[in-house]
Amino acid sequence: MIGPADKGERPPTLRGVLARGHLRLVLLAVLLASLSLMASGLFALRGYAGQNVALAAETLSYAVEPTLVFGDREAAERVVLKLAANDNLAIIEVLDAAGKPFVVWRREGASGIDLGPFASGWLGLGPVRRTIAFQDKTVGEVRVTGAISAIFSYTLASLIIAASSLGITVLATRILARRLEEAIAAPLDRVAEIAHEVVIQRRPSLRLAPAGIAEIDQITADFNMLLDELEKWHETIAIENAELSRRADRDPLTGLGNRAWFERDLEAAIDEARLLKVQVVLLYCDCNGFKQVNDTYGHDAGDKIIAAVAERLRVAVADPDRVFRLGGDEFALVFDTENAERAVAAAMEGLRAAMASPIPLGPKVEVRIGLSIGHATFPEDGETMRQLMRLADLRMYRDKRGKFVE
Amino acid sequence: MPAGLPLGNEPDPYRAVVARMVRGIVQYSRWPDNPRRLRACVVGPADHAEDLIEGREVTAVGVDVVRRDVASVQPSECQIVYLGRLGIDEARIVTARMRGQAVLTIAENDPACRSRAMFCLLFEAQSLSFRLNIDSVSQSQVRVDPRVLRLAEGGTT
Repeated sequence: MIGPADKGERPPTLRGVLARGHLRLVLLAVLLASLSLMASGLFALRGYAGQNVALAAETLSYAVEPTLVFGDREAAERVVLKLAANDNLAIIEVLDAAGKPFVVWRREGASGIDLGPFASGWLGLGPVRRTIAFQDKTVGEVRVTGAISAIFSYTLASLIIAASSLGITVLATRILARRLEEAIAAPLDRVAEIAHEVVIQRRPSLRLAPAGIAEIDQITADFNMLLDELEKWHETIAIENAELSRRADRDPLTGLGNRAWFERDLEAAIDEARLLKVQVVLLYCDCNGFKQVNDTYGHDAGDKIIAAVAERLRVAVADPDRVFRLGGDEFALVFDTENAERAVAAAMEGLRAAMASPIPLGPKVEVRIGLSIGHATFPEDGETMRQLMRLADLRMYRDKRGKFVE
Repeated sequence: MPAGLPLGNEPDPYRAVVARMVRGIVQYSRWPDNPRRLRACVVGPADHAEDLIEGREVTAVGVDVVRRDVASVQPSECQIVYLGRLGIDEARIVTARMRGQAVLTIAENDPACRSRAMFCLLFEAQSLSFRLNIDSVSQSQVRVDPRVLRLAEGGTT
């Protein structure tokens, strides 16, 4: 794979990053909206609660005034109970001129939550006091305390509504975000996929289709340009490589295949012959008296001899590509046959005939070059390339020595 | 509207309460020309009006109390008429005379409120309250605070 080694901690995906970003944004927006709504609602409600309690106290002080004057507790109770129908009141107290309780009413179970005087005062729940004066004389006092229940239930309802709208908004935004994510992430995924394919499969001919988003299309266009360059470069490299390998495999003087090519060719020929049940003949040739020519006429002359021999060998055989120069004045030939004995004899005959005429070196100089030849046949002489090569070499030297002795 | 009674061995526990009740009713009533002083006329023999006749409670709110009999009581002279223990016919003669005038009528001895007085006192074991004759109240030129009307026993009849 490409890139730095995976250390177990995968980097986040674009999709994940976008999703998280959207979620945070939505949470922030909904929380801000609901909290500010709740706060403003509480302020408004607080105002109403305060007005409500003040109004109740006003009404009460007006209505109970004669009952205090007449000392009619029953009538005062009727007034108070009528006012108690107002759900938002918790405590209603009527005090007489001496400050003693005249009528006291408390909502049952209303003070489930005791906020203390400070919070209760801030929420506009009172207690609100009104002194009742009748004809310049104080006849009593009323005290009215609002109930927390309305504010409490408003807060609860706001919280529930905020929570449910949060849920709905999160869901809706997830869907919208997913669409956006797909519009951005899918083309980028495609870029990554193509890049991966180009790297791994070595297919620089692949190209990206435009995605329809300006920024991504720009990336796509640049990426395609890069791929164009890569493809061209790839082609150039291939041509150069072919040239290099041709040079590497060929002997520059004779244009024949060199030892490396020879060994590859022989190996392949053996493998193929093993399958096809045919024979492979290997011939080693060595020029007799080449060293003397070299010493007498110089290296240029030697090179000329080698080139001439190579040309004659090439002409003499059926497949000129299977004539190799192993180095110095040594050559090798490879061919398949179904009758090795006869083929070897025919080849030797042909080669000797090819070398029969002298090779001209200059206007008046020509030399006659003979060949020492050693052969080996697969599979009769050996199963492996090395065995065949050793035997052919051995026979060639034996041939040379024989001539030398003669 | 029971008004509390002071406990004690006084011969008439109601006399003080009656005076206070009359004062309260007067204080919550308004006469057309808003006279500075008011005259209360006690008609016939009254059982619980001793304090009232002595002017307790009511003098402080500008009420003078005099005694009159059935024949002599006149709306031009009295702004408040307190009817004592009279027969129903006698009481009706007085209330008929005061009808439509700027006179507040209060009956002491008429628990069924048949005398056509505006206010009828109700003496109970532990308290004093009153009834209303709403016809008389609405026809009188004296305006009574509706809050006081609400204090009436059994509502407005």
